[in-house]
Amino acid sequence: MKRRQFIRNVAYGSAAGLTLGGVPMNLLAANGGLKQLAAASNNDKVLVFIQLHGGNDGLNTLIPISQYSDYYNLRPNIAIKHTGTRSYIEVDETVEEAARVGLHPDMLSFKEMYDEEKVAIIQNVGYPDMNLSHFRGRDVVFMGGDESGDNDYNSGWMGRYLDNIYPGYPEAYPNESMLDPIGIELSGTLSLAFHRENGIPIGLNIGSPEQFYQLISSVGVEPPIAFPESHAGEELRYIMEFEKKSNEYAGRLRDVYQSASESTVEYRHGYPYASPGRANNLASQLKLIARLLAGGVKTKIFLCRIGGFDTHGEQVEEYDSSLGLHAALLYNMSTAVQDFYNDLKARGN
Amino acid sequence: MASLNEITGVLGRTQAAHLLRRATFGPTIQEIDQFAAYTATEAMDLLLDDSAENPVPPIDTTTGMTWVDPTGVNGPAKAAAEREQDELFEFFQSWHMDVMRQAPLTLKERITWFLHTHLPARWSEIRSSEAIYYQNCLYRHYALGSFKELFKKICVDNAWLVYLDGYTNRKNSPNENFAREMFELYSIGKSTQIAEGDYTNYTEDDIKEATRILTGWMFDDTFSYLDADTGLPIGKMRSHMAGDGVTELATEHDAGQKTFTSKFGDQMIEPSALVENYPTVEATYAELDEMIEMIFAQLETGKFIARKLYRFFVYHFISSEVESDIIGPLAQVLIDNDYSIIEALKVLLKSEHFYDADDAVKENDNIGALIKSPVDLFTGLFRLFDIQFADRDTNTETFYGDMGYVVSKLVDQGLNFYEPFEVAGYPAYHQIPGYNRNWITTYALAHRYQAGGVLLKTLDQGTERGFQLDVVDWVENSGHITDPSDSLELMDVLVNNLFAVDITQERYDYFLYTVFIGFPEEDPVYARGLWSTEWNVYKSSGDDTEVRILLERLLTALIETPEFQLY
Repeated sequence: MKRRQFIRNVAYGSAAGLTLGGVPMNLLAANGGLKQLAAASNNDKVLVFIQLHGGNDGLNTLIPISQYSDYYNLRPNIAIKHTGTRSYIEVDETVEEAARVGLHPDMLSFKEMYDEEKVAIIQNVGYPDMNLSHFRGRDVVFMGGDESGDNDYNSGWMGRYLDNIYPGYPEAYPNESMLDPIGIELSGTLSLAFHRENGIPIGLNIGSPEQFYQLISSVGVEPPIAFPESHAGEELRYIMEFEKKSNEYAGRLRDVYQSASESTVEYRHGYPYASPGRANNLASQLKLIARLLAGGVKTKIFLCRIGGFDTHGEQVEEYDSSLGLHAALLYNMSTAVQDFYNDLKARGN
Repeated sequence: MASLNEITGVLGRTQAAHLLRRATFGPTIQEIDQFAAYTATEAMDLLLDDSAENPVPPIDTTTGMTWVDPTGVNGPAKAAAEREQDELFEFFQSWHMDVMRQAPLTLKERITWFLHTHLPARWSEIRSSEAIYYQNCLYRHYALGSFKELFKKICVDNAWLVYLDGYTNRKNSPNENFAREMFELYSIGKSTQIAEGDYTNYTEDDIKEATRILTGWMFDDTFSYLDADTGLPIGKMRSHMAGDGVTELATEHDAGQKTFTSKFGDQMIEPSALVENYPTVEATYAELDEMIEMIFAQLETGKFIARKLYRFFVYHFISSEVESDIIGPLAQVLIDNDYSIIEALKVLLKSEHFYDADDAVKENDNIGALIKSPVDLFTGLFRLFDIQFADRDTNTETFYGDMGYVVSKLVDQGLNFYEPFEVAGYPAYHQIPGYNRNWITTYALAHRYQAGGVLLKTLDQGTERGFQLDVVDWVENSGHITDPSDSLELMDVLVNNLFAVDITQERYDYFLYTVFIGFPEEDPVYARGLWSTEWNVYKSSGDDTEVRILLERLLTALIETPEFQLY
């Protein structure tokens, strides 16, 4: 599908007619949809999911051009300008009026990728009667349901989806057809997304594969095989299975990592303007993923996280609403993604 | 059914160890033996002892004195402007970790830490070592007091006014952030949304009205404004003096009437006195007081706090049986006792439920079922093995170096000490569905398994650090092992005190014969004889090389297990 059609189809909140892996979007909420999607997943495509932690300000990321005066009047102190230097970047003048949006001026990389048909934009994604809680919102995104009706989960959609493709986790893995961790999270924590309905999550979290291997291979004695019939027994089993999976995957990840070369693409680090910048934590995560992919990893989902989007009073600089913490974060996010694409391309993808 | 009935008789070793592991930062072997002879009531009375002095504040190495003393006796109330706040904060981190390491065998520091896990603080947002330190003092002040009274203070606490944007909340530009999190995360908790903006326990309108009551306070960066009840620096109401020259008037506080919804009995709160059209500062505190009383009068608030206590002290998973038999009654205890956490713990930590004595069913047993936090993992080891650190007041450089290293290990193990990713706090204490299991990630677990290496003095490379566990010395001189040449006695002492769960004979034998002695194929009696010989060689020759290798291997292995992660 052409990206331009993509934005046209869904920009206005309706996902009708949109399919993912042949499954209509509106069926995806239910578990059956995930099963269908899983059945259609027999390919080498991977998903890299980037969580903008803290609740991104969507209206300063994608400025609604067709409703600009409403937009401006509701947030004059933080609105992105529509003219002059550092005004928004119009994404696509050819779409229908109602779907016209502008990107934050620090998202030039996104504009370039859009023009290369590497970016699609889906707006107005949420859940019914949003209750304004960051935590709830984040949990719903990761659970893939709002606990209403058939959507009452205690797990993440990635965990359930991968459970469908790779049944029998953790006992049956790794195996000859799937040597790699099924999901990888590039952070110190393991989020709700990879949780299955029962048992240990289907993902594991790593920093650098080499360090990870050293870390894992330096510790551990034989795991217990008998467990008390108490809550303590359940926790023991949980930890033991986690340990086992870490051990099993550590060597493989190191080998994959070492079999690929260092990236030839220089990832941009740091925000160039005199604004409270932050180190670009996303760049290093994506760089690692690119290298693992080049090394032949078959991991189906990678989950990255970039924090700081709960900007509150630091969102913009008082003297220029296009500068500030939010601008720096959007710059980091868009440049990291563009550098990632370039890296993949340079590696022959 | 789960029961809060008090257990009878003396505790015995298993129950005493369980109580002390959960209620303190880790017992020594003597302390377990001592408590084993007490009844639950006698034990709790000791745990509630408050005769120890509060810890003296941290020292700044550049001045040799503290920078956080509101009385000015031992130092100023804030650091000089040119001091690097990041460094002072690191001093504070090490200080707090050490305060927990050295805490008396009582509940006070334990509850202080619990309060931080429930009402968190994030350094990179607050960036004032003073504000964070004074908040910690506030928690300590109310640890044995009323959580409700603490809550009134925390609403205007300097660190929290910054962390949750309260300082930007003014009558003409309200900021709802604080009020929203106050309801959702810290007091009554959010429940199912039953209509637009109606979260069962409160509504969007309640957030708006609470926001109005919370208008006008500011961060006092001089730390000179002291709270009359605690003597601690606290945030200040923006004010000016009335024409009478004595009455302070709140310039940025919403003077109107606030009306809460039917969730709170349609309660109306307004300033009791307006002077020159401004509420008096006194009246604004009265409003805050009234609102907190209103929120804490709700049974749901009691339940929310009771669940937090349960997850921290008993088990992370709350079954429907526990919800009805434990949480409900515990909430009522809180409400009936002015939200005294210790009154609730007096019931919970003496109960049949806590000691798995309420039924014969094993599946719901809680002993050993919590995963240690990284703090507990380290303080437990430090205290069990009596590991000494440089004195934090007099040998500051060494102390900060060593404890800073421990703090870096907390981070590796998944506890971003004073840097929780979100205002809900560290995931292990709130994140569904795993709660406590959030401590276990591949990365953090591997670092937990390495904790033994952090402590041990190794043979080839003497560590640069000032603290270490000399395991040979401990085995020989701690007094806990009568005959170190007896490998069975040695194993029993270590296994019983490092593990909160029983292990099978097979597993015991694995540690003894495969890991420790290293002769799994030999006859057990013969194998144990090898160890005796080794120990006796050491005793006669004075060369501890071989026994140290074996003992360090055993201890490291016991720590590198799922069993050791539980408590």
